[in-house]
Amino acid sequence: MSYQVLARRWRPKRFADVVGQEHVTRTLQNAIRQGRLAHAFLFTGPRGIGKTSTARILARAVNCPNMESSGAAEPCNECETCRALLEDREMDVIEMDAASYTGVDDIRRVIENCRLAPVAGRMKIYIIDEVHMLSRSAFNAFLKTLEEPPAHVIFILATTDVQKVPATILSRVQRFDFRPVQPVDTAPYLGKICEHEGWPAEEEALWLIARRAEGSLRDAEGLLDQVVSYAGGKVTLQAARETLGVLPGELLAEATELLVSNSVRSVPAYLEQLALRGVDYTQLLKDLQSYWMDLIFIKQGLPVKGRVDVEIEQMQKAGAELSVEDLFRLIRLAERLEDDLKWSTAPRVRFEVSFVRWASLDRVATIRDILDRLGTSTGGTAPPARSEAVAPPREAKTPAAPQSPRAATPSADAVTLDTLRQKWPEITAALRKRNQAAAATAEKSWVLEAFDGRKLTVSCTMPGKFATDSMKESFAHLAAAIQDVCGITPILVAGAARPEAPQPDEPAKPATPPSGDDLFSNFMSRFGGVEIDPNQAREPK
Amino acid sequence: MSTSFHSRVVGQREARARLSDAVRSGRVAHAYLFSGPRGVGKTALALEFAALLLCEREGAEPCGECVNCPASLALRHPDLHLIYPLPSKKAGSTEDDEREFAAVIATQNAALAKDPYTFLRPAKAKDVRISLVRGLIHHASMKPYQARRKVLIVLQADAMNTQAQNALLKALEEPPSNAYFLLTTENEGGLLQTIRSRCQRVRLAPLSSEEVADALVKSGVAGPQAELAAAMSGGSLSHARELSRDNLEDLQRRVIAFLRAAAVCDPVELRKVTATLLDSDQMPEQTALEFIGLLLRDVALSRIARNAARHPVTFRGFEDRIDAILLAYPEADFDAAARAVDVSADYLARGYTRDFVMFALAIRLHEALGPRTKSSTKQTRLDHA
Repeated sequence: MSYQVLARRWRPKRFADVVGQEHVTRTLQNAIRQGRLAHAFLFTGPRGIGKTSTARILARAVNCPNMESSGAAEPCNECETCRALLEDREMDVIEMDAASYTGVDDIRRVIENCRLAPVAGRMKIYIIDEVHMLSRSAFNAFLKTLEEPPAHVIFILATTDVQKVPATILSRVQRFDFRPVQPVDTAPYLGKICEHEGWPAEEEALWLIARRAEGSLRDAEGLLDQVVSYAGGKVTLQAARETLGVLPGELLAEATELLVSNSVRSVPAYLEQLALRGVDYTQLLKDLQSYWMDLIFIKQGLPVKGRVDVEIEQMQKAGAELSVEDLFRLIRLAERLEDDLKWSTAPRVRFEVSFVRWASLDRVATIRDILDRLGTSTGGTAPPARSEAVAPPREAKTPAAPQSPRAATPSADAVTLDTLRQKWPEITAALRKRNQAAAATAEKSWVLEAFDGRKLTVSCTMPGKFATDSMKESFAHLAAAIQDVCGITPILVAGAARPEAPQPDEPAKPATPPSGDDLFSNFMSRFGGVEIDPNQAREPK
Repeated sequence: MSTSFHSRVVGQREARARLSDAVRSGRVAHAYLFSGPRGVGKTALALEFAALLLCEREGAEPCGECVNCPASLALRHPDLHLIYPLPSKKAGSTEDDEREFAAVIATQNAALAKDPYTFLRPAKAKDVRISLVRGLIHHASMKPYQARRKVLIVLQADAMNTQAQNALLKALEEPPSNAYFLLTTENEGGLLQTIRSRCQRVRLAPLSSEEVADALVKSGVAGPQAELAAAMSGGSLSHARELSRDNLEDLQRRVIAFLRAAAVCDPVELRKVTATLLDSDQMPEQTALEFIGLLLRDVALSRIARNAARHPVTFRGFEDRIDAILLAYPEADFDAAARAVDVSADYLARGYTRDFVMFALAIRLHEALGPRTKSSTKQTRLDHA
């Protein structure tokens, strides 16, 4: 007998052995006990979590003669029927590989054969694995039988890809969704295996494997196999790290630290380390994203699943200086690079150059802090600025007159409310390039209210929620426009709507009723329309 | 210990040790997935492992002398089945076609047996035919003829389409006893999770430049050329071999001229330089792009690592040029530049005109490298992803 991998040797043989799927096994066991078992099941869920195993257990439980006497709704695994099944020589349980036998003829054969009574047991059980691969006509041919099979037949369909199963099939079966196995369940289970096999195991190593398995018990067992054969009959953290090619938390923590601190000089060494390991950069980016996402959770005081305490502490340390916003930005950057890497011919170059850039981003954060400080210092002079805010910046309608007499020339670095107001014509011009409709309403009715170096309050002079909402929808464009003109990206906040009497310099407007205006501007911003003077438009005729 | 066997696997000592340990301790899993970048020795290692599994003596490496070894190393063993991407079957295939097909396989196998590092997909080979996968599963169900085991290999397994991958699932999970599946892939993401989950994974890291250069010199490449190719290869022996076919030093000069013209972005000069750059019997533009990418990487890394203990450049002896670029373009956005190079490579692969692609690249590089007037805009730009 050749060596069997753990995943096969430890295939669960009783419902109680199936890890992390109590919601399925309990339901099935109760159904068996009460004799209310359905005639068709669909087991779905990601790879390696017990779909096929549960199907086989169910098949044995149904036919096991000792089941009723035991009362536990478990197959005895000792009687002749169970043993035959375990050894795969049972006539009444037919396991079909739907991925190899996909055609309508294969299903017709099943349909014909299922009419015959079982040979030995009570029931005839068809396990149709990878059922998502059946052809369309095969599925359709199956429908009638699946709905009303002979009384002695149970169908168990199993698939990882339930999307591909037609709705007509889904509605005829009892569906069970298997859940990814949580590391909390996986790690003790691996511990149990090690104990049985007589391998001394380090707790942390088991956790590492459990996490790396990403919810699949079979993956976990495969990894354990690998670690054990590497370390020669024991499971150590060291061996786990070396064999799995895992990106241990440290590698991710190091990346995070490098991106925060000013130690850009250590970046090349880090990148070299990655290259020597032969890291899969796409995978690394994925890991970084989930690492940062979890870090955000931790920062918000939310529970993080599947990370051990030691690791969480380490994460907190690594990301101590990062704000939630920074993390979101990093995730976004990583996500975009990951997208690029899909078609890249030189992933390593792309990753390294981008990483270098991210590592120099931290200076942005420091500049931001400076801005913050500048913002609070101008905050002291805010009241006078606020009083000026009433005068809408749209006074200066043409970009030809950017200089407003009331504002002193601002320093190049510090952008203040005055600078922004002064540059408003330029900003709207930049906005026009991005979104004409937004620019049109911006010129007419948006007022820069306050700016603290970071947060820019903009309010809308037009009454109604529509106007404010449509303004908010255009904030992304406005931010980009401000970015183009002033080189900063303020956080835009909508101020309270300030319905204003129409300004004297706009006597032509009142013709439109205010409610129509709301609708109008909303339409414009939603559909990107351009305002055309009806008189002018008519002229050509 | 063995006399007639010489391993053709370059480097990868750890992975080899792991596999021979598995054989020695009798803990061979029924399915292995060899993954790693191109040209690091996945096929070479898989074929050698196959020979080891079939070898009578079960030592640390195939003995090369028993009844099985010579046949399995030549890929002619009855218990060794090997499939890979092949041109798809025509609808009304005649006997001639089939014969031609068999001939393709024969040449392919011979080439592989001779040198596992230069596996080339046959022309028009898009995927691993499902009929071949079914055949492989069928072979797996038979008893071994001669050796104690059967080995079934799928090279470039990610080239199996969804049906083929699915068809393999059951066999991969619970193969008949004594059947062993070996899969190789450059792109793990191209395999179903269900496939990956059923295999023991053997990840191969890039080779060191020394290992690559060594192997190249052994195969007769001149020293400096070998070193340059090794440095550029990123640890891929196959790639280094391809690179070493171009005259790299000459190409390097032409690339530098191109970059200089791109920085100025003078159309006339650019046309001339592009013409010289592309003037070669080989197809050097992908190599040229690679060169530009690596150079940009060197410069980007040097900018931040100026005073670091180690200067992590790909191209040794280029430090002066790198410093010159850094001085000339203090504001350069290397990330954008690297992206431009990458995009160009993609365009070339899709068959855009070479001149057009290189011209567009020159303009993009000019934009990315060109000094900017506003220093503050650039830094906060990063913010707005």
